[in-house]
Amino acid sequence: MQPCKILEDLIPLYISGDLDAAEADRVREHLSTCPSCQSFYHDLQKITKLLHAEPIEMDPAYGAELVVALNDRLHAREVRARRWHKMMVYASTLLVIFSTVVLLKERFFKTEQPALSWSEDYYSALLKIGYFNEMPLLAGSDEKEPLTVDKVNMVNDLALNVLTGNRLLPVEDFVEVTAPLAESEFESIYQNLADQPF
Amino acid sequence: MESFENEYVRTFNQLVLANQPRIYRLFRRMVDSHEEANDLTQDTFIKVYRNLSKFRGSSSIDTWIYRIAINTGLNYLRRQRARQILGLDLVERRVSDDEQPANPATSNILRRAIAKLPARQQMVVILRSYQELPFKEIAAILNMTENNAKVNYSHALKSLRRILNKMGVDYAAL
Repeated sequence: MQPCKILEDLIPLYISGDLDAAEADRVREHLSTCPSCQSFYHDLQKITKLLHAEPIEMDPAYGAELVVALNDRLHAREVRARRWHKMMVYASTLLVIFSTVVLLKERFFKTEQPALSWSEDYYSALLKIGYFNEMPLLAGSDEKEPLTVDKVNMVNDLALNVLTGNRLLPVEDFVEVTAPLAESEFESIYQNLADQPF
Repeated sequence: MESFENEYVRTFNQLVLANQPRIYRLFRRMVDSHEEANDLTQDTFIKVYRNLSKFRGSSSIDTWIYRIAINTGLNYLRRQRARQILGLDLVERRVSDDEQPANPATSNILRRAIAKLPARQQMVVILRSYQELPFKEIAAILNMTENNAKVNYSHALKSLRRILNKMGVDYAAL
C-alpha cells in the first residue's frame, strides 16, 4: 500500500521526533484515519527501531591501540621524510661538486682542439672533398684527377672519423689515415678540412 | 617547557581518544569488516593530524573531524563501487558474505539495503539513526541545509522500505 503523497516525507521525521508540534499533530491526525499511511508508518517504525537497535561492540582497548598505531605511522612518515630530505641534500651537494668540476675543467683545462658538432658546415666540407660524389675529385687538387677506389675509401674513412669523432682528427692520426695518399693529395684534403669554418 | 611539537602530538592524541568511538562506529556501519573500519579510522586521523594547524574553528572540532571521516568514507565507497562495477571485487565480496555478523538476521540485510542507497542518503541515515546526531549537525557535517538533510533522510527511509520489500523482508517477522 502506498502512503499519501502529501505526508510520506513527514512520516520518517515524525518517527524520529524531528517535526514541530503543529506538523506532528497533523501527521498524528492523518494516521488515525488513513490505513495506507498507517501501514507505511508501521514499516518505517520497524526499520527505524532496527537501525537504532544495532549496537556496535568495541574493544575497550581499541582507543589506546589506535593511538599507538597512529603514532607509529606518523613516526614512520617522519623518518621517511627525514631520509628523503637527507638524500636530497646529498644529491644537491653532489650536483654542485660535479658542476664545479666541469666548470673548472672548462676554465683551466680547455684543450686547443675546437669542439665540433654535426652541422651544415660538416656537410659542405664533406661535399667539397667529394664524400657524396660517386667518383669524387680532390677539392683543391691541381691535377683534379679522379680518386681511385682505395683513395675514395680512404677519404670516406676520414670523413667518417670526422663525423663520428665529433672533432677534427689530431694531425698524427690524420697522417696515419691519409698515409697512402700522395703528398699533394694529403695536403689538399688536410687544407680543405682545416680551412673549414667549423 | 614542553616543545610545540610535543604539545601538537599530545593535543592530537587527546582528539583521537575522544573521537575514536564514534568515528570507528561510523565506519563500521559503512563497511563489512573491522579491518576496513580500522583502516578508514586511521586514515581519517592521519588527515586530522596533517590538517590540524589549518583548523580555524568555524565549526566545532568534532564536526570538522566528522566531515573528514565522511569524505574519507565516501571516497572509499566510491572506489569500492567502481571496483565492483569493474568486477575486481568478486573474491573479496564472497569472503565478506561468509563473515558471520553478531546478529545475522538483521545486520546483513540492513547493511546490504543501506549499501544500495545513494551515498549522501547513506550518510544521513548512518549519522541520524546510528550516530543519533541532530539534523543541524548532520547538515554542518555534510555541508547542506538542515532542510535538505531532512529531505535526504525521508527519501532514504522510503527507499529502504522499497529495497527491503524487494529483498522479500517480512516486516511482521522483524
